[in-house]
Amino acid sequence: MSEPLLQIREAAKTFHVGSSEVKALKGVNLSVGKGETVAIVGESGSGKTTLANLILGIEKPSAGEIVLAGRPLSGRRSKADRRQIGLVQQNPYSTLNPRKSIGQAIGLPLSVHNVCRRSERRRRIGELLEKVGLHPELQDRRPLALSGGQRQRVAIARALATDPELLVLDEPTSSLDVSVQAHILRLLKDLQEELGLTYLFITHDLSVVRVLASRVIVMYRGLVVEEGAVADVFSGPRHRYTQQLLASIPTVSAEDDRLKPDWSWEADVDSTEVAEEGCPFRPRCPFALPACAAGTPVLAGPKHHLHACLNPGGAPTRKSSLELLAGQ
Amino acid sequence: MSKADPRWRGWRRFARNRLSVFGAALIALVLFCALFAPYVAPYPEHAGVVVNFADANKPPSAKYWLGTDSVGRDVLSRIIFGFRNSLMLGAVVVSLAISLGTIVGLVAAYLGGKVESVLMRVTDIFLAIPSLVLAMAILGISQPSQMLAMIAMAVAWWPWHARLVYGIVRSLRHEGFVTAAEVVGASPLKVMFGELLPNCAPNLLTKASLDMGFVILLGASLSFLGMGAPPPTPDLGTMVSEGSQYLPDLWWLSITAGLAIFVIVLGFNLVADGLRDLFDIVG
Amino acid sequence: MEDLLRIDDLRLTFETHDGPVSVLRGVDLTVGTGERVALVGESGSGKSVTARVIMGLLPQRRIRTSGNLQLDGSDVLKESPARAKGRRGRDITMIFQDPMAALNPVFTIRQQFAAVLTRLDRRLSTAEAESCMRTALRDVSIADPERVLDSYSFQLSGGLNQRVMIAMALASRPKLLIADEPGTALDVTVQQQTLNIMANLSQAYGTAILFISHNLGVVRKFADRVCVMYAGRIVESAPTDALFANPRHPYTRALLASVPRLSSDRLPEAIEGSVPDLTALTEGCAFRPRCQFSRPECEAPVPMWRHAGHGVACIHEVNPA
Repeated sequence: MSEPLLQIREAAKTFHVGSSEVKALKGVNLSVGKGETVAIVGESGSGKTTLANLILGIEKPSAGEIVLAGRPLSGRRSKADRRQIGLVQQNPYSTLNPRKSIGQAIGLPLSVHNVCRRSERRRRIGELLEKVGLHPELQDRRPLALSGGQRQRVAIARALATDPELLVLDEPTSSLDVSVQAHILRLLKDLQEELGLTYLFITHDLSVVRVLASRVIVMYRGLVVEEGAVADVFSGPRHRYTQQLLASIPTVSAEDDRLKPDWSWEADVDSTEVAEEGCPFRPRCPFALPACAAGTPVLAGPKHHLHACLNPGGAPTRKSSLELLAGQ
Repeated sequence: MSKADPRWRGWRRFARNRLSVFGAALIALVLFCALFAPYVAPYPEHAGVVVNFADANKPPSAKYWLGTDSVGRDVLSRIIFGFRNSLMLGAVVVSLAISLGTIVGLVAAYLGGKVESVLMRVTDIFLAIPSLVLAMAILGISQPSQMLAMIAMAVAWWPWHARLVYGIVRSLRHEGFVTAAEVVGASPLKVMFGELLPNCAPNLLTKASLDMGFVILLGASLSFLGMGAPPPTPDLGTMVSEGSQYLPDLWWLSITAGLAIFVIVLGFNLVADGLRDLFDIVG
Repeated sequence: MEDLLRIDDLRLTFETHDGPVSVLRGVDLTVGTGERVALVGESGSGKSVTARVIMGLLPQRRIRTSGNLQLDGSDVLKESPARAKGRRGRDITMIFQDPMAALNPVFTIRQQFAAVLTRLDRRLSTAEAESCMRTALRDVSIADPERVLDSYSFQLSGGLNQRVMIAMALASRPKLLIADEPGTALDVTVQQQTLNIMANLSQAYGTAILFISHNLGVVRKFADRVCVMYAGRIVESAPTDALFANPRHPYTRALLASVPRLSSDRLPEAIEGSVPDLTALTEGCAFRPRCQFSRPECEAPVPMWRHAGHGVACIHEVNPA
């Protein structure tokens, strides 16, 4: 792997709500190489959004550190640090200020960071719009006149305005229609090739991960439970939660069905019980062993595919996973 | 203006309610009279100290359309000059109240924490005291004057704007575009005034129109109680108050001034309704 | 199979200040007794409006409808609002995308559920209602109904709320349940679970389901038949297996091609162009401007070509090029 652009060491975040504590992140390690796309997958409450907020500097970590291009990021971000990270959010209808024009939206990062002279701003905004496949004249319009897909393109243009190295993509296509999603995925892929961008892709939708990411990190209740190359994790998920996630992907073809692990839906997945000790997934897991209650399982396994499960799903033979991937 | 022009569509929405158009016409008429009072009023000199006992206490006639007062001044001319005073008072008070209220509400809702608690508790205390009582208490401090009356009313009025802006900003605080601006590194001032304030504008404008009416009414109440503009400035509230001494014989003194206040308040209220439709504000 | 719901050439126009907008442009749809039918389309296709017309939930003003909508033998478009109201919640019920928004946070689940039951039968005793609620919640795999009944919606997880909604919607044993994007607001694992429960119960109770979704994958597991909607028309309708194995309408094919595949890291294929402007549609095929197979004949009205339960509204099915 190339030199890591972003490194997160033992990041933890505890929120204090009244007198109680909520541990949103319980010590997460992560390394993202330059030009790589790493997907962070998990459901609500997994801590994926908190992790993104730490990286973006919206929240401060309770413990651990975040290192960007070799420099640790302090609690108070410098402008130079902020320039390096762009954000694309989930909801295209909330990401743009309804009272401001498209040009003003993209102009904000340009003016905050003095990217270019005021007289050149209009031209620069036009270039950014063209880069994301929109007409430069669109900058005089209000977001109301734009479709969801167009708004998301504007959001991408805004994220690119400061020439960042890293883009945090927070569910960038989840609110879009599937035919529009395909356009945005292509755009993201093209931009990555053209500009050498690094993506940190936060999502609950594993089917998009397969297309966009090279490495995937599965999170559950503030912990990383599985981590590996996308092809490995998809063809041989080890952690039972990853298996359940894969099994619940809505698929449209029989080939896709064959890649989904068998999962017994009769077991109650909606347990609200929170395991204080042991594996956090235990209350929902049909495969839980007595040992799972003893201590939190740690990530183990070969370096390219780690999992934190005491009773994991069968490791695929190298052959079968190759067969599966060759059949496309 | 073509049909596709957003301004044309905005006007269509506003004009859907005929009453708002009527209200706008009323305001336009009052504004015109106020601006060109010296040319519109039949006896402009009657706005000042004029004594004309020959024509005192005359009921409405062809010469004096709305009659004359106890010193023989033309009531219509004094009402037209009274519009000037009322509109100026309304505009100054509402602008002061909006400026102060908006800053307090915006800062409290955006910064949160201790700042929020302190600012909003202060706001609540002010809200708990009736505006008329609060304004009278402030005016009691020193000699009544037009300036002091306006400041007193603004002090009594800003908490409503603070509450309004606070509510809007609280609901927008975690919208995507606010987060996006923060992540880019925009300063809190830029986020508050550049991103959040424009989203409060429609509600503030609507409330301002509504408030113009109420503030003018409050100003008239203060004048009625003898705490407004000192004589001989023509003031609608003072005119109602002075005329009431001569009721029911010289009925035109109070009634016409009272109707003039009514016209302004009604006009601004109807326009506020139209603005609410225009901006699609719920409630 | 007998038709429970039969819609013929349903057209619906909204009168707006900027002129009429044709939202439905001739919808033909049937749902048989106990059948599970999915109505799939992207935003603006008219799928949710169709659901609301069937429920009688659209305001009468500013709307023009034509066509035929028979539900269990009665003509929905022509009947009085009072009759439509009487049927809602009894013969035909609906569940929505966001269960949190559909439940009232100031009443307990018990209070809300009891209100639903008393509306169905005023003479129901408290004890009967209690046992009915408990059975209904157990049917949706809620292990401890007592705790759930005593809770407020905000104390329960999204999945539990959704199951409570399903239990309430099925309490009257309706003939038709309309599910508008059920579970889309939930985590995928929870969505899968609740859809399983819903499908099992519909089978057990003989309830027909009209399943509204934007996601082809979600409906594939649960529907007997899938109808694909585009710009206010159903462009293809087929038994689920047939539709996925052999999609015939160019839009269905394009939509399927735009779904990312688990088995491939290739980028899905996007549909070029954009959804048509509903104020300026002509009679011809609405997909024509985006279709790679379009021909001049596509400008003429397109009939629905039907063969062995597979219906396709495409000129190429009638006269193959």
